[in-house]
Amino acid sequence: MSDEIDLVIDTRELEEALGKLAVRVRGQIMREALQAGGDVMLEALVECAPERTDDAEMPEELFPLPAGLLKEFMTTEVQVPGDSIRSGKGYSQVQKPRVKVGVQATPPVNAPARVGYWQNNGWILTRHASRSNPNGKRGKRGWKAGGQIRPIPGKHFFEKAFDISAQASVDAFLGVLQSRIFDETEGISYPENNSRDVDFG
Amino acid sequence: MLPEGLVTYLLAQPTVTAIIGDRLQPNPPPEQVDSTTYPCVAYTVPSDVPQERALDGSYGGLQMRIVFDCFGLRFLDAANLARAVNAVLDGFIGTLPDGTVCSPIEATLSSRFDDGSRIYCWSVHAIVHY
Repeated sequence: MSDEIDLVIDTRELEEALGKLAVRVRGQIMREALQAGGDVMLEALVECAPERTDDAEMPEELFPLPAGLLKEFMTTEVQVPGDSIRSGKGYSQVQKPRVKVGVQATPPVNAPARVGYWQNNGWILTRHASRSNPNGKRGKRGWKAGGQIRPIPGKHFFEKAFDISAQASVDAFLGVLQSRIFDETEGISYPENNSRDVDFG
Repeated sequence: MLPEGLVTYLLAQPTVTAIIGDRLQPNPPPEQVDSTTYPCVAYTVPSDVPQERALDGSYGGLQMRIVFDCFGLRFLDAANLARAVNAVLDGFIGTLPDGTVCSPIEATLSSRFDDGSRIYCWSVHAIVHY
C-alpha cells in the first residue's frame, strides 16, 4: 500500500552504541530520533497532499472530504520493539524500530485513508447503471453497467514527499540519535572502549 | 528536458513501440476508450529534487521521479507493456537523445485495478539521477 511511507535505516553501528545503554533509555532514544525523522517527512507530506479531494469524478462510495481535511489527517506513528500493534484482528509485537508517515487510520470506514490512497494512485472511473441505460444491470458497476469508463491518473504525492524529504529526514534522525546517545553516555566510562568514539559519519 | 529525452528514448525501443505505437503522452490518458487509443502510456513527474547529498555534503546531482502509467484494456496487456517499459528503463546508463547524462535508472513496478472495470494500469516508477 502506498498510502503511507516507511522509513527503514541501517543503524547497526548506532545500535551497538545504544546497546550500552539501559533498555528503557534505549527505546526512548530511538523513539525520539524516529519521531524527529518522521516529523520532517510529515511536513513534506502535508505540503504535497492535495488541498481538495472532492473531485466531481470521485466514486460515489467514497465520502467526499472537505477541502484541507486530507492534510489534517496526515500523521506519524513511531514503533519500537516492545510496542504492541494491531495486526489483523489481533495484536503483534514490534520487532524492528520504524516510523510510519501517512493518513491516520479511522476505523471502521477509514475514509481519509481511502481517499488518500485513491488520490495518490488514481482510479478507474466507472458509473452505476441507470434506468436510462437499457444495456446496464442495476447495481453493477463498470463494464457490466455499460457506463463510460476512463482512467483517472494518480497524483503520486506520497512518492513526491518521500523524494524531497528523505535525505533531510535521515539527517534529522541521525542528528537526534547522535546527540541523545552523547547525552546519555556522558560521564560513563567503559573498560574496553568508549561508545562516544563511535563515528557517525 | 529529461522527460522529453526519456519519451524519445522509449519511442525508439521496438519492444515498447510494438505494443503502443506512438501512444505515449503526458497525463491524463485518452478519454476515448477503445482499441485505437489503448494500450497506451501516460507519464507524470511527481518530483524533481534539486540537490542530492552524500554524507560529506552536496555533490550537485539531481534526482527526478517519472511515473509511466501503462494502461490496457486487459490485465495482461497492461502488465506486458509495463514489463517492456521497465526492462528498457531499469539500469539504463548513458546519454539520452536530449543530451541528458544519466546514472543507472532505478525502475520499479506497481499495479492497480478497479473491481468490475476493464481498464488496468501498471505503473513504472523511474528514479533518474542526472
